[in-house]
Amino acid sequence: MPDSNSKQYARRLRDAALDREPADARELRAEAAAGPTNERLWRRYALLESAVEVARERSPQADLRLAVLAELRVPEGRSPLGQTATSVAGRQAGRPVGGARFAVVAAAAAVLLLTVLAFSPERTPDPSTNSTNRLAGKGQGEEPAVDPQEAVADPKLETLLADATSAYVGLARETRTAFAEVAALVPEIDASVPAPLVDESGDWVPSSVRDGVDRTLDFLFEPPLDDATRT
Amino acid sequence: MGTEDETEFVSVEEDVQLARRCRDGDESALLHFVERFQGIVFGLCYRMLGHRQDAEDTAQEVFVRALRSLHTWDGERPLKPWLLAIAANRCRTALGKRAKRPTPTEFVVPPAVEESRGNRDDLAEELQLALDELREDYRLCFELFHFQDCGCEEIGQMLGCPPGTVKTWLHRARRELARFLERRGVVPHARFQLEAVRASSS
Repeated sequence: MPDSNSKQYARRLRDAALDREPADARELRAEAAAGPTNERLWRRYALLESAVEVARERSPQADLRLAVLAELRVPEGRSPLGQTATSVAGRQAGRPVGGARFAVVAAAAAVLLLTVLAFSPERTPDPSTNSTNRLAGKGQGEEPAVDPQEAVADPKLETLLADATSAYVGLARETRTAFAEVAALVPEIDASVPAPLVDESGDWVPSSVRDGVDRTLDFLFEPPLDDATRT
Repeated sequence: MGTEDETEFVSVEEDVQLARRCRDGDESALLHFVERFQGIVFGLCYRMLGHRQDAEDTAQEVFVRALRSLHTWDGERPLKPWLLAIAANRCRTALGKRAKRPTPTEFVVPPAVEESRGNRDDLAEELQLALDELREDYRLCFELFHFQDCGCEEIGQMLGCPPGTVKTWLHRARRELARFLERRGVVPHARFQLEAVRASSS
């Protein structure tokens, strides 16, 4: 049990801890040798004081200037990382796979229909028929035979073809986007490892399917070449 | 004392000007603001959280919040305690979030060493370990008093408690820290050792 001297000593040490530069520091040190209790109390006080002294000398440093400045440039309430994560999640949640599939099928059907319409016999003059008519001398008083070059140059047909091509390209672009989104949902597999078409159980491996789809899309929806590009 | 008051006055004037330039979006002022206070803010975050990466993230958050809410700062008072109060709150929030996550291995206290430890690096390390074991209120009090040189009254204002409570928490923090260090066989720096005291008194 600590005697009154020790209690008093403990109180003085306690006050000294709250006083950053205790006036009686030297006395306290001297009194520590008076007995085992004082010695223990002093040891604890000294342990803390020396630990704080050393820790203050070795305060950790960090340069936060650029990081803070970069963070401040981002509008309030939006962190770049959070925004990305949210937008990706939102995209996946907002467009379920079923919806994307439907969009692909609808777009493909529309492309097919437009292609058929654009090149149907009613709309496209048959160059062979025209030349046959001309050779046979048919059509005196009828409409003059049309030269294939002139047929293409017909403004109505030209407009139709241009519209069809434009619609085709637009739809193809949309279809490709929709397909790419579906393909993005197929899990990625390390490209360094050769991917088999089927796994051990005989099921198709998704990445092979995706590669195939990508290649087919590239081929199918390649933008049409104009004459200048072709030559 | 007059010099101290003058220094304090100049410091508050500087704070006001710096805050005004920061509010105007002056980039060099923003950089100066962070440079001036990053030592104390990061130090507080590091000792409160005991993890460098967490401390950097939290300190960064403190600065962003402070700079975005500079209009709420009372220009009559120095910036430092205002900033420290924000830092203290952010650290509490970070600790609260951490408490809900499983403890990563880097927060686990390493086993105590057998031999006595008097190395200065060890001493700082051991104090950090001891701080990590301390109750949050005690740790914050200890940090603000011993590392940020805040007075008991100032700490009380920051933490929203009377100065008497701060003194009690500080005393308990010191007692628990000393016990922890003793248990781990840490010895005081040579200057404080009793042998040195005895030698000097004789």
